[in-house]
Amino acid sequence: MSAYLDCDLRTQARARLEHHTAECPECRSVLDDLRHMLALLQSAPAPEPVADGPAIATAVLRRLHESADH
Amino acid sequence: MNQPTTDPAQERALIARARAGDESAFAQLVTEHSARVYGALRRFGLNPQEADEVAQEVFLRAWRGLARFEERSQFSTWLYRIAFNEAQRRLARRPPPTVSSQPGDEDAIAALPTAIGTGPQARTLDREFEQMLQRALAELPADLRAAVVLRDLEGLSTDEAAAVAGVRQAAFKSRLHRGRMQLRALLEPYLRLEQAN
Repeated sequence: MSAYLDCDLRTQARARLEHHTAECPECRSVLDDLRHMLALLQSAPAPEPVADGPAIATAVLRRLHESADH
Repeated sequence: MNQPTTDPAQERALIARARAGDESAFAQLVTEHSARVYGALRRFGLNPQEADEVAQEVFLRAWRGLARFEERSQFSTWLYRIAFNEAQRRLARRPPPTVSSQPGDEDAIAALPTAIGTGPQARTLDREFEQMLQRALAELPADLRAAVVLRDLEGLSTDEAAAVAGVRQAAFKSRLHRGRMQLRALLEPYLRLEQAN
């Protein structure tokens, strides 16, 4: 099913899966869930960083200088 | 996924300057990519403090390894690879997470807003989903979690994600499928709630 959702199945295998899910409510439900879940994942907000980009850059440069001093 | 604001030509120029030792150019690259790296580290399973520390490690390693960066791949993909390796290293040093989310976690579901909409309530729901997703991801074995994170959350292609995880495409696809199926089971209450709205 993953390969189907990623458009990664050959024509025959794709047709077989579509035929099966048309007739099998259980597999159709799983496929619908996966499709819905992937849409949610793609739009999920990223975890918010503790520090912003410039603060991380400053910390990284500080550590670079510290390691160069030793 | 956090989209870069620097265009590819600008980024190549910054990389070239950083390779020549220009720290301000490297600082711009860090600023540009830090949220993406931090987000991936959190989703690989690190807590906020660990992700903050390891993000710095990732960029320190990137600075030291800039000479080895092959521009056949994107800079962001290269950073993902370093982040993936550093996250695995950090995770290996601590026991598996003890915070547990059950597929039928009624409290978590009860805490969700009852309608899916737009505006502030939708943003609240986004954050609720993000928290639930973090708990569900923590339940997955590390290799399956990484596959889902790289492909479905960070938006890498299968080729790129397999390269970051250091496995062949076939093995990666198998991990991805198993990860998705396990995640679906863990998120099922949320998916049902959404379908009901």
